[in-house]
Parts: sequence; structure tokens; C-alpha cells
Amino acid sequence: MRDTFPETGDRTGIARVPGHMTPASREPTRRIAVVGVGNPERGDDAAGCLVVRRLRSELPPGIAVLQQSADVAELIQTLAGHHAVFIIDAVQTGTAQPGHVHRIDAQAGPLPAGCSDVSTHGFGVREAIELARTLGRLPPTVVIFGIEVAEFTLGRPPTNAVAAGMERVIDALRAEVGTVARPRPPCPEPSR
Amino acid sequence: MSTPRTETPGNGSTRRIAVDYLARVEGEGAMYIKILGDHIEHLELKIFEPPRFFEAFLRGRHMGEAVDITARICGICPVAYQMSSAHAMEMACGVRVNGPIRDLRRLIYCGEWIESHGLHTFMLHLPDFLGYPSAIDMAKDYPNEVNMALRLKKIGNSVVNLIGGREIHPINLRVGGFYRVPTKRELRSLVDDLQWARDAAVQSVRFFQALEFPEIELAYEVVALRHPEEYPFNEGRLISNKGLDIDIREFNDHFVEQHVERSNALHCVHRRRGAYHVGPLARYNLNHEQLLPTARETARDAGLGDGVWNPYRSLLVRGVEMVHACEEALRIIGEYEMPDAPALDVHPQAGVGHGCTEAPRGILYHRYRLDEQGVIREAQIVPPTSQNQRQIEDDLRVFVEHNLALSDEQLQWQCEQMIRNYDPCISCATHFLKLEIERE
Repeated sequence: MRDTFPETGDRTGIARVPGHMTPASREPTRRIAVVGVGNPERGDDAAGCLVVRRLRSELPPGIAVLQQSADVAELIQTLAGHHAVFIIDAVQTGTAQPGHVHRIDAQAGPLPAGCSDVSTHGFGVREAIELARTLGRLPPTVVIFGIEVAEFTLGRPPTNAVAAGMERVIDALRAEVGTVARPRPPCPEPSR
Repeated sequence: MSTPRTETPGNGSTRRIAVDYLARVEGEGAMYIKILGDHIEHLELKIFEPPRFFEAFLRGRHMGEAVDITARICGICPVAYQMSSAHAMEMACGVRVNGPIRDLRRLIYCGEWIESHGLHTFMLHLPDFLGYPSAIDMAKDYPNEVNMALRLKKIGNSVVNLIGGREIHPINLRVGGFYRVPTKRELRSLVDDLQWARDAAVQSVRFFQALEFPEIELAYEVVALRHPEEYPFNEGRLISNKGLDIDIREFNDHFVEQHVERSNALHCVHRRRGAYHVGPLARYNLNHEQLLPTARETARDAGLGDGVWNPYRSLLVRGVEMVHACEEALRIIGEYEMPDAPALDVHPQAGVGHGCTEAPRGILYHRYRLDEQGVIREAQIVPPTSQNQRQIEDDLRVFVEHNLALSDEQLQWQCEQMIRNYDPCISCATHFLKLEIERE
């Protein structure tokens, strides 16, 4: 699966897999995506990216593990191309302590303002999800794990509280992704 | 439009409207307008986003690092930052990049224009014209247009991704060229999408053309690059409609950055004439005859003529520039031959280098002084929104003076629309726009 951000600063990725960026291969073919959003170089905002980096090696093959910026076109394509999408993002609601994990089921209804990090030009995860909902492109399962954040200093790692929140999200994702990915048990034979 | 908060004091003589968050611009700032009777007592654009110190970060870093560090200034126009810094370093070291590497630089810039203009025209600016508070609300009634915009943006992203290694903050650009260049086959993979995008951009302009534009024409000094053979992206002389015609090395002789107390961003003005206007309108007015045939024809059909002085019609110009960018991208791909090496060798030498390229929202000027080891000793970055800031205030002053009869709500809406004519990127300039109108 293509990774939008192979690793920060890893230019060898460009030469190593020629053709890996062709549009044809960029079409999502997997039905489950785990998407980390944020800027990996801005303190707590790195939380989403760091969670998916940790999970990449342990989630079953066939699950798309992506790092994305909050680019509306990319996010909507990811949403429209999968049946279940889990998004991990830094959020700042101001109503919880840093590191607190907000679990939001996007299918339950419109996302509240402030439940997602507002990014470039006011288009963030929330806007992408609401736009996808309006356009009928929202998949059956969309879960956002929003980690309450506080510090965005350039070049700094996430704070301890946010790192602890990331661990809780990783545990939750292991459980939830497994549940969604597991094949449904065969239907019982109808009783005679 | 943001939801206004109206406060009416007990005596009813003063009205104050405060908007806590102006949507659909990037960055944090505030607009304050105080109206006394029938004239404007005070109008200012305040930018309170903290200074970002990129120029200071760059001092002491090696010239090769500037391309990656400056890309981090903006998630919408990182290529512009990378291009201006690379060109400046190359000038300082006496290297000139030509041939396929230069073409690939133009190609990645095409991608950035398509994605930036695609997002701004449809998702940020169009809701103003159609009377929706946001693109999400607009999408209920205009799903085809919004889907088209998303696909346009995605195609722009694909171009940047293929050449730059990823769509945000590309990692494949360097002083002298690239780390890896694409094969002809890889570039050809973009052709079908770009042909679709070119046709979609033409349709967009036809759609925009039918909109109602507020009637206003302003006598701007427009400043853009001018290249003898090309609609400008990466290089050229700096010219204006008021006689400016200079080498980019002379930028500081003619323009000056001024600190204003209310803003954490510097205002850049012409030393003698003050405010000036950069961006699509400036590029079109000074270079429209250099648009490629389909873009030129689209502009003619849209009635743009030899000059566009109504800032709201920048929507149409951005559409025409999307057509041009797709056409230029297809031209480059059609003629591309892989270079022998992905980059020229650039050996550090002491000197000063200047770079000025056309970001989607206007000229982006960089200047660096290097020591003999190629270490950056001075850095200066003048983003387009710093240059447009004074002009935005002037536009608002004219608009408000002529429209005092409008209700506060209507006035606020149209002021926001006026600001979005510039597709401002306030965080580039140093973010949030808070709008206050006070009447007595």
C-alpha cells in the first residue's frame, strides 16, 4: 500500500519503488484504512502519525495504514475507497486534559465543531467527513480517535500526557480494527 | 460566513459586530472597522499569529537545507518556497538550471497551481458567490461541482506527488534539481487525468462566468514576473503596470517591508507608491498574451479581455490559470526526455542569491547571503500575503465607503468575500480572522 509519507525525510523511498506513485496504484484497494493525521514535526500534533507508524508492522496485511495531512481531496478519497476508516488526529476541544482520548463515531451524526484539528484553510478532518457525508461518500464505519493536545512546538516530540494517550489509542485500535476485519461467522443453517 | 456576534449598548448609538472566526482563509488575524456616521474612522487588518522565525531558523544552516526548511512554511504552496529558495541558492553559486530539470520544476509548479486554485475557487470562494456559509452547505445543492473540485485538487496533488515524492511538503526537490527524476512512462501516467482536468477547468470558468460579480474596479499597481516566452512560474523580470521593470536582484531597492504595530506580519510596500497587488490578477494583466491557446481562448470566451480590475473576477482568472497549468503540464510531459542526472552539481561559494517565483497567490521573494562554505548568514523571505496585506486594507476601505448602506451582516459577508479575493495565506505571512465592525 502506498504511504503518503514514506518516512519523514526518507528520500530513498522515491527511488526504491519506481512506479509506486502512479495514479493507478494509488487507488485504494483495501477495505479498511487506519489513517494518522497531523504534522509529525510539531509536538503533540505528531500523535496521529506516530500511532500509525507503531501500528504499521503489526496490523494484518490488507489493512491500509496511512499517514496523511488533512488534505480534503486525499481524505475524501480514502473515505470513499474503504468500508471502514479509523482516523487518529490531534484535537483541541479545551474541555479535556491533554492526552484524553475522544472516540467519535462519525456515523452517529454530524461532528461537533472543534472535534478535529482545524488545518490549512479551515479544511480539516471534520470538514472532509462532513463533505463526504453530504456527497454520500461516507463509508459505513468511520471512527475518529481524537487525542486532546496542547503543545505544537516545531521539532519537539509529543508531551508525556499525549504519548500516554497514544498508547490508549493503539490498544483501542488493535481491538476495534480486529473486530471489523474479522470475517463474519458463517450464517447458521436455517433450522428445519 | 462566520456567525456574527452583535452587541448593542443600551443607548443604541454604537453598534459593534464581532466575528470570532472567519472561515475559509488560512491563518489567525482580525479585521477591525470603525464607522462614524458616513465615513470610516479606522480600518485595520491585524495579524496576531505569533511570528514564526523561519528567517532566523535558516541562519547557520547549510544552503542545501533551505529547500526543505522553507517547504514547511506552507502546506498549500510548499513548492513555491522550495522553488524560490533553490533558485536563490543557485544564483548565489553561479549555477543556472535548464533543460528537462527546469521543465520538471515548471511541471511540479503546475501541480501546485491546480491543487491550490482548485481548492480556493470551488471550496473557499465559490460559496460566497452562491450565498452559502461553507462548501459543505454548498455541496448539498452543487454536488457535481464539489466532486469536480475534489478531483481537480486530487490531480494537482498527483502531479506534486509524482515529481515531489509526496503532495504536502515534497521531499524530492533540491538545490540543482531533484533527488530522482521520473521516467517518461511515469509522467505519461498523468496524461489522462490532466486532459480531464483541463476540460474540467474550462467548464469551471464557464460556470463561474454566469455568477454575479459585485461591480467595482480598482486602479491597482499590479506586480508580477514577466518572462519573454512563458506565462510566469519560476523566473523573469519583475514588472508592473506603473513602469516597474527590474531584475529580481533589485527587489529591496524598490520594495520595503514595514513593521506595523497591529500585525505580526510585515507589510511589504513599494518604496514610493505604497500598496501593490500580486497574484492571479497581476499575472493575467501583465502576461495574458502568453497563456497557452486553450487558456487564452477560455479567457476570451469569459470576456476577460486585456485587463481584469474587478478583484472579485479573480475567481475567473484562477480558473483560466488552472486551464493553463493543465495545458502546460501536458506540453511538458509530451516533450519530456529524462535528463542524464537528476541534479546539477552546485558548489558553495560566498555570495548573495535572490529567488522570485509565482506562488499561486503571487510573487514569493527570497534572498540569502552565503559564506564560502555555503552556510546561510542572512535570509529574507517575503511571501505574497505580506505584499497584498496593505492592498487588502485599501480595497476594504473603498468597498466599505461605497457600501455603508448595507446592513452589518451584509457588509461583513462582502468584506470577507473581498478578503478571499486574495486567497490570503496568513500563516505564510507570519492565523483566524476576527472581524469587528463598530458604528457610531
